[in-house]
Amino acid sequence: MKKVLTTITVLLLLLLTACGGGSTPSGTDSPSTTAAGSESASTGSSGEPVTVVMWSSGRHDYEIYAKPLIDKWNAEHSDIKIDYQIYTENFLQTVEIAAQNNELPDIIMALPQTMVTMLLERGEVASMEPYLTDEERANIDPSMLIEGLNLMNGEIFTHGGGSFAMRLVVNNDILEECGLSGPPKTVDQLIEYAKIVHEKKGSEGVYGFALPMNNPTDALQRGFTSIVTLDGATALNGYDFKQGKYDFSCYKPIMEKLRELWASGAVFPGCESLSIDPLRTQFAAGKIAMYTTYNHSEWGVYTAQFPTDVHWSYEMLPTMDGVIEGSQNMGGGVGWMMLNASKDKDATYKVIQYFGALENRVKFYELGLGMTTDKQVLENAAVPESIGYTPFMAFQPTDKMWPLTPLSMTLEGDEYGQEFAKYIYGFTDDLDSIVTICNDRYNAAYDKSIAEGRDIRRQYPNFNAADPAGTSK
Amino acid sequence: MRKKKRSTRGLVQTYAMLAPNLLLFLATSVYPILWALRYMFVEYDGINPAKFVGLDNFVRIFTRDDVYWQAVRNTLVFASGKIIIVIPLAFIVAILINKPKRLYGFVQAVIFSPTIMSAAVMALVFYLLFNVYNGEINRMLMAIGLTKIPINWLGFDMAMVTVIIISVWGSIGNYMVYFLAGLQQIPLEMYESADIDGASTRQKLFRITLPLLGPVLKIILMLSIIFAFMDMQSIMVLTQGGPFQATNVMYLYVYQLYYSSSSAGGGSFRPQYGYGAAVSVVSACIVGAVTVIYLFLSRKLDKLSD
Repeated sequence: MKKVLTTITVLLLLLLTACGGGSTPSGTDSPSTTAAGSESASTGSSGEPVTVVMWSSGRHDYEIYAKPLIDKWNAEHSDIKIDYQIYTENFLQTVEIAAQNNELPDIIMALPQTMVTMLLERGEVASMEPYLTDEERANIDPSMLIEGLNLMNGEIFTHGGGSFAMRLVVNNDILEECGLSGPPKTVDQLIEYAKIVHEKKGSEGVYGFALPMNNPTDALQRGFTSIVTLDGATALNGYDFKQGKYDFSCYKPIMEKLRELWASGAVFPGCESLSIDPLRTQFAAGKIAMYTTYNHSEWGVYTAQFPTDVHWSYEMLPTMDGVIEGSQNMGGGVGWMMLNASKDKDATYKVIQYFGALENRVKFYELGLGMTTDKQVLENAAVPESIGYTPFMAFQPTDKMWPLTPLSMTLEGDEYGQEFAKYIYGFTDDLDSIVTICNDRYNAAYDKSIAEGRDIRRQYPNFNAADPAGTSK
Repeated sequence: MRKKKRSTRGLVQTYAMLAPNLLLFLATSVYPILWALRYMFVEYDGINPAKFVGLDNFVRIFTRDDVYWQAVRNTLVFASGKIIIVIPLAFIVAILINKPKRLYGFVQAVIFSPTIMSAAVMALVFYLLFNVYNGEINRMLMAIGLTKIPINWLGFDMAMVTVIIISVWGSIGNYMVYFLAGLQQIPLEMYESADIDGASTRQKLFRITLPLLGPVLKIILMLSIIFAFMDMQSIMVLTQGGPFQATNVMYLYVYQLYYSSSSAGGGSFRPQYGYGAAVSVVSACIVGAVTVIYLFLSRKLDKLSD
């Protein structure tokens, strides 16, 4: 009897544990099912308005920009209503699950790129070609059109101007108090500045530099990988467009410098587990002199999210020798995407046009809610207060569109940020081994995705970091 | 005839009452397991069609996936640390407050309250308490002179200790209630006769309380092992398994494989449903094996009360 009970108990435990730990979104087993989406635009019975569902990952602009816009539309239109939904940190997961359950909305924000690639591969994205007006076409900058980013098989699927690049964020009060004039131009200078700040103000709990190393790959992509391409490297996030394969060896010099910076003691304590928002709170409190991040977000952060009296500014990223020989990638050309889940694409595109109307795009830019490459907007808008405050928030000639790196890969093991962090923290001295491990791991995944027909070899033998668009055709 | 009708009606009533539970069990337990068993032999990212890969997922687990085995080691450390601390602590607390007075009821409610709080929310609160730069814990320790420099509670060396502390805090109330239920099953007459015999408090604890709690203790320990092995919520919010996988545990790793965007340690651009299914099945086998070993070793607990 005891044996039977024990067996039953063990079986139940196995059931419980397998179920509890490996819980999955329901319906993930059927990628090709075609049930109608429950939330997409539907005309319903005659006389009922069409509801166009929009999903966004942006919360910073909702109250002052998106909500008034939607309220105005819904008040003025009885035939088409907008249902605007915001998803924040869980945006990608929500979209993944919705895609598998055929519950995608009509319109979705074309960011992050991983999600866009996933939706493109699933065939969820609708072409905008049949709907684009001549005026809209005329406003699209051909140099901003990149396959996979806003083109699918040569057809436009999104045409917004939302873009971003990386900058050094500086607390000018701290630098001034430490007798440091101007932002650092080289990486060595940056390290020197950080050390001086910590020497002079360490007793007050002020540190020279900080990185949100909670996610090391993200931390490195917020500036340090861009420093490498500004120095002329042809690899973006490790993918070398010239060689057509991953080669992380170009990161060796910057990793050596990061290790030196880390060992100096001038880096904010606890960075191993620090994410970007806690880092910003400490910057706002005057405890951090410098960090690197996107150029579009800090204005909103320090005026609304964590208001501060600190005199801060965006500055250009330093380079290894102070000379810029290449450029840095700016994510760009993104806006709203229309999805095939939409049952009434005419109505759906009307909503996209409403959000894309010049006056609304200008308003968004003037409010300082995002950066844009949109020529029409730049010609018609007044200089936003944000750019007046910190001019390097604006795009510079060295911010350029790079081709897309492979995104259809399934990686076996840690991302490169995790591997390089071991060297930065001093857990290993063998940088060459880390480069080899990353190269092997990423190339194996990339080769596999090519062999399975999920990707193509993206190789441009004449690729030049100073002219990424011109040399990647 | 009437008897037959009655028994049929009884059967219908029985199964009607069982049905909701049974259906939920089938939908939320059996179906996902069957799903996992089916997908552990395929490669599937949720986008491209599932591809049969035979035993390759298992070959990867046992030969190429260092992150998983690091997570298994971490799980063992985490579970052992948690159980070793939480069970004796919960037992002591239960003994101390097992009294029929209103004040003790209030204390029980306070100690139990972490159990009903969201682990994710509490992990965020604990982040504020434990972070190295302005955390209250460091401030207190420095104020009373226990340390001169702030302790990096979420750094590589201390992160596991921190997540164990938080997990103990979150579950002590739960086990306290189990122990209280067990303690209240022990007839008061046994203590009264022990008092008449002149038994000391220590003697009553070791000769009456502990032996009679044996079967309950066995269940409590079994549950604590299972829950400790499956615990991941607070770790997910607090450290995401980092730094350097120092706090990554088995089921957090499974989660990371299923949700590519959360790949703090899983390191994947795409969800790996097939591989995740294989990992969850291997993990379930590990938990099952540990539980079998425990049940084998704990046979004596049943005899304690005999």
